[in-house]
Amino acid sequence: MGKPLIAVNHLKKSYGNNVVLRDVSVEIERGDVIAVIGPSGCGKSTFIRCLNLLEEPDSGQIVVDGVQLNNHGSQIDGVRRKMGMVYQDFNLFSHLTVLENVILAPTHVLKIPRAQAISEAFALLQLVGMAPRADFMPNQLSGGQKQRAAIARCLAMRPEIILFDEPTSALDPTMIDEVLAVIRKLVKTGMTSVIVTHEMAFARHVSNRVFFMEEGGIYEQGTPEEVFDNPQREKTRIFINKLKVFERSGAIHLLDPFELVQELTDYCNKYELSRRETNNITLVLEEILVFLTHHASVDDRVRIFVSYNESTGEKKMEIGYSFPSGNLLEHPDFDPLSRRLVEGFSTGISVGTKEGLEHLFLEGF
Amino acid sequence: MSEWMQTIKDSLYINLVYEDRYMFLIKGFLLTLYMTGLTFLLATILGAVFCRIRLGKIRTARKIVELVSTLFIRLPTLVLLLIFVYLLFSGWNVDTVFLAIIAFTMKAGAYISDILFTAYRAIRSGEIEAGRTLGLSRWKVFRYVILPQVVQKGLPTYKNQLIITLQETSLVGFFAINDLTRASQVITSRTMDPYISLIITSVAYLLIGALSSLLFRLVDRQKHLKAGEDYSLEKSIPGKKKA
Repeated sequence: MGKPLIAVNHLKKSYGNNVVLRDVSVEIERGDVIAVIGPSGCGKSTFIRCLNLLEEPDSGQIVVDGVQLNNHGSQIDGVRRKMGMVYQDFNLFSHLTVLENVILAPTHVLKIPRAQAISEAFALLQLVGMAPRADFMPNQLSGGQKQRAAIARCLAMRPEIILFDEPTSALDPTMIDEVLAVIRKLVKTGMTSVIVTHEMAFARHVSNRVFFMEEGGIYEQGTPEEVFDNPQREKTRIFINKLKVFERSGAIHLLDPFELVQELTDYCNKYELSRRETNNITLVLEEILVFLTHHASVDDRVRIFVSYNESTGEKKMEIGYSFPSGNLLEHPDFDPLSRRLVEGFSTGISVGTKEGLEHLFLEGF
Repeated sequence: MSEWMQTIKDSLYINLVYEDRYMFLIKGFLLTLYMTGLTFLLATILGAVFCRIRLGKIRTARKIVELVSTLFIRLPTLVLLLIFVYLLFSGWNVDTVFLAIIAFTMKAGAYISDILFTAYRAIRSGEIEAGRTLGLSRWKVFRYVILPQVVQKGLPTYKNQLIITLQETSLVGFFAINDLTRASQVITSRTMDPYISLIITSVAYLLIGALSSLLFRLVDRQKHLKAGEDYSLEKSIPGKKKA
C-alpha cells in the first residue's frame, strides 16, 4: 500500500479540563472509506476537525501525504486544498449563488480560468443533482439541496480526501437519503473519505473500516462486520446494540437499597418495560440486596449493572460482590424462597469474576 | 396678482442678488458638501480601524477602543465640537473647519465601527471556516467572503449614517463658519425675510441626500450587473436546464 495518506500519532486535545482526545493514533490509507461512529460528545467531530487543523491539537503529529502539519499559514493552506470538508450545517457562502459558491475557490486558489471553472462546476452540480438550481441563492434551498451543493463545492477543489462532519445531522429525515445517495456515489469512485455519522446502516454499508470512538480515543476499530456484528468491547456493544444501561457500584453500606430499587424502577419505566418485566427485575434486585446488606460487612463492595437491548428486548443483570465468594445464591444463609424467586424469573444464570468482583450474571425476566 | 409677483421678485432680489448674496449660499453649500464628504471618508477609515481592533486579540486595545467609541457616541455632537475647539485645541492656531471635521469624524467613526462590527458578527463563522478549508488564504476569505457580506448587511445603516453626518455638519454655524445653514441665517438676519433662503437651504440638503442615495444605488446596481455576467456565461453551458 505504500505510505498512508494520513498518519496520526498520539493526538491529544482538551478544552480546559475537558479532555476530548486522550491519545489517538491511526493511519488512513488511500481509498479508505472510514465511518467514525460513537455517542455524542465522544470527540468524533474534534477528531476530524484536528485532521485539517480547524482545531489545533495540544500535542501529537498529523502527517498528510508525507507532510507533517504545523500551523504555518501557507503550508496548511496547501494541505487543506487536498482535504475537502463537508459540514453539518453546510456553511455555503450565503451571499453567493450555488454556482458562485462552487467556483469561488477554484478560480481564486487554483487559478482556473472562470469559463473552465464554470463548466467543471456544472459537471459537479450534475453529479449531485443540483445543476438546475445553479443560480439559486442558498436561502432558497432545502437542507438536502444545500448539503449537496456543499459537496459539489468541496469536490471542485479536486481533493484527495473528504472529511464529512455529520453531513446529515441537521437534515429532516426526508432529505437524509438524497445526501447519503450522493456520498455513496462519491465513495464508489474511490474517493478517500472519513465520515462522522449517526446513520448506522449507512456507516455499515458504505465504509471499509469503522472507528468507534469513546473515552477520548478510538475505542474499537475494524471492518464493519467486525464492529457491527461482533463488537469485542463492552462500550461498543452497548452502543451498537443500543443498550440502555443502569449501573451503580460502591461500598455496600453507602448504598440505600430502597433508593436503588426505586431508581431501577424509574429506569424500567423510562424505557417502557412492561409492568411485569419491571416487577420481576426489581424483585430480583431487591432479594439480592436484602441478602447482601444483611450479611456483607461494611467495606464490601457491590456493583449492579442492568442492560436492556431496545431492538431485541433482551434484558441482562450483572451483580458483582466482594462477599461471599462463589455463587451468592448457593450461600447457606441465602433465603431458599428468595433463591427460587430469582431462579424463577431468570432464564439464564451463570457466575464468574469481572472487575475484581465475584459476579452473578442473570438474564431473562 | 402682479403685486404678489412683485413681492416675490423683490424678495428674490434682496435675498439672493443684492450684494451677491447667492454666493453666500453657494459657498455654504460647497463647504457643507466638503465637510460631509471628507468627514465620511475619514470616519469610514477610522470605523474600519476601530472595528478591526475590536475584533482583534489584544484585550487592552479592544477595551480602549470600546471606551473611546462609547464616549464619542454618548457625548452630543455639539458638546464634542465645543470640547475640541475650546478645550483640546484652544491654544493652537488650527483652522476651526479642520477641527470640526476631526470632531465629526470621531463621532461618525464610532458609529461606523459599530455598524461594521454588527455586520461582521452577523456572518456565520462556519462560512469563514469553510472558506479556509477550501484553501482560501486569510486575505482571500476576507476579500471574497467577509467583505461582500459586511457591505451587504451594513449598507442600509451606513447610508443613514451619511445623512446623519450631513445634518450634523450644520452645527459648525456655532463657530461662525459659514456653511449652508448659517449662510441662510446670515441672509435672514439682514433681510428679515426667512422664506426664500430657508426654502433654498432645505432643497439643497434634500438634494445632497438624494444625490448620495443615488450614488449608493449605483454601487448596488454595479453589483447586480456583475451578477448578470454570470448568468450570461451560464447560458452558454450546454445541457443546462433553465430552473
